Amino acid sequence: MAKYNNPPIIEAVCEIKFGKDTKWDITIPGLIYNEVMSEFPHKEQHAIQEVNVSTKDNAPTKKPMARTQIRTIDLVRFLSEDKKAIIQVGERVLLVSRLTPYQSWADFNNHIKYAFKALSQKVTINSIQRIGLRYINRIEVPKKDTCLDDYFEFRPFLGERLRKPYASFIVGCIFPFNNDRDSCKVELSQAVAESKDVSAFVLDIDYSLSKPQSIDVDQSFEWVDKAHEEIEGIFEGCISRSLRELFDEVK
Amino acid sequence: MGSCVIASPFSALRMLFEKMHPTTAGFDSISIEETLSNIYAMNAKIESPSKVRVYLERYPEITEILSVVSEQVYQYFDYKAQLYLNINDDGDADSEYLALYLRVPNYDESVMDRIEKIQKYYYHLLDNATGWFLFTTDFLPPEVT
Repeated sequence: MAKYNNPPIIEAVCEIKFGKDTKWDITIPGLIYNEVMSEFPHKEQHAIQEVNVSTKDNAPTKKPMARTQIRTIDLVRFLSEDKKAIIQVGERVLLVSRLTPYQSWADFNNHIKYAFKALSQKVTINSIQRIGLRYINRIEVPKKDTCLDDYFEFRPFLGERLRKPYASFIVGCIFPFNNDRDSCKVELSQAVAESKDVSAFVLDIDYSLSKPQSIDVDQSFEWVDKAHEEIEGIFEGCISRSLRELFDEVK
Repeated sequence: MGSCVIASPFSALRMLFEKMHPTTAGFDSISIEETLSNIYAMNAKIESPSKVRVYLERYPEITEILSVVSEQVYQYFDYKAQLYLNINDDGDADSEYLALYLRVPNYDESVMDRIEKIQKYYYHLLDNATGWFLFTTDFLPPEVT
């Protein structure tokens, strides 16, 4: 996706969750900070909420009920000087993000490896519970006669008898990869535009390991490389020539 | 705080999708986009969305506060209320903060009471925040859209 002069990426993130067999204690983020502080000098405390949705039978009626569990995860953030590259460390989780301007895959991949190696020096990683690579793109197109068909090959389809225009939309697909070991969630939705002259959309591509602990720790970098390759393919599959022109493709 | 979600027509859909494919957590980009979209869907005018995005990126805890307040506005006011979101800086970048103004056609006494009730929902969240947020009214009429 870095083959564009104006890539629409607002965030690229790699999240690695480690198995319960990886020993962890509260001093670990501090130890990692000592390793990365030369490149990531700013430190912040933060928390995110993880939403787990499950279904279970409602005893009297036997009808399935959705159950939502929200868990707060404390994270320590280490930010680069310009605060555009971020490493986040929490209990058995490592997140590496790159915000706009996204430089290149080589640059982002180096940061992933750098953070992973810094962690590996302080913690014995025994298993990978989950790993995900996600690219969030915000795409703005001229509003004048905006027609999604002109820009997107991944878009909502409305039959002739459905009312147009619609107020808003969200479309999504989950694609399986590698015999269902991996999957990729693709979502396109409307976003808030900068001005009345443009329409804005978020194209969110989230590739992850579907089967917990189905790769070895030493396969992590290979998995990330492959995930990036697949994401690039999906991204290209989602957009049309008009968008490539807007992104100013490097020939 | 990274993935706060307020009630929106798409919340249930996203929950279902989440079950099928747990989302890779990230920084705050997606929660900023979702929060702005939700506010926009509530008849809001956002002055310079890019400046608001930059502010929320710098002070992520304000995204959650904005989300909480928007949800409360939805509970306390009807469809005639309009929101106006902007960055106030008084010409000084160091003193900038995010302001959400409520505008209604008629300003009776109950409006301020309701605003104060909503303020109570978020004041405590500012205790540990590095950025600043204000929810109030500028007593202007809603803009005709």
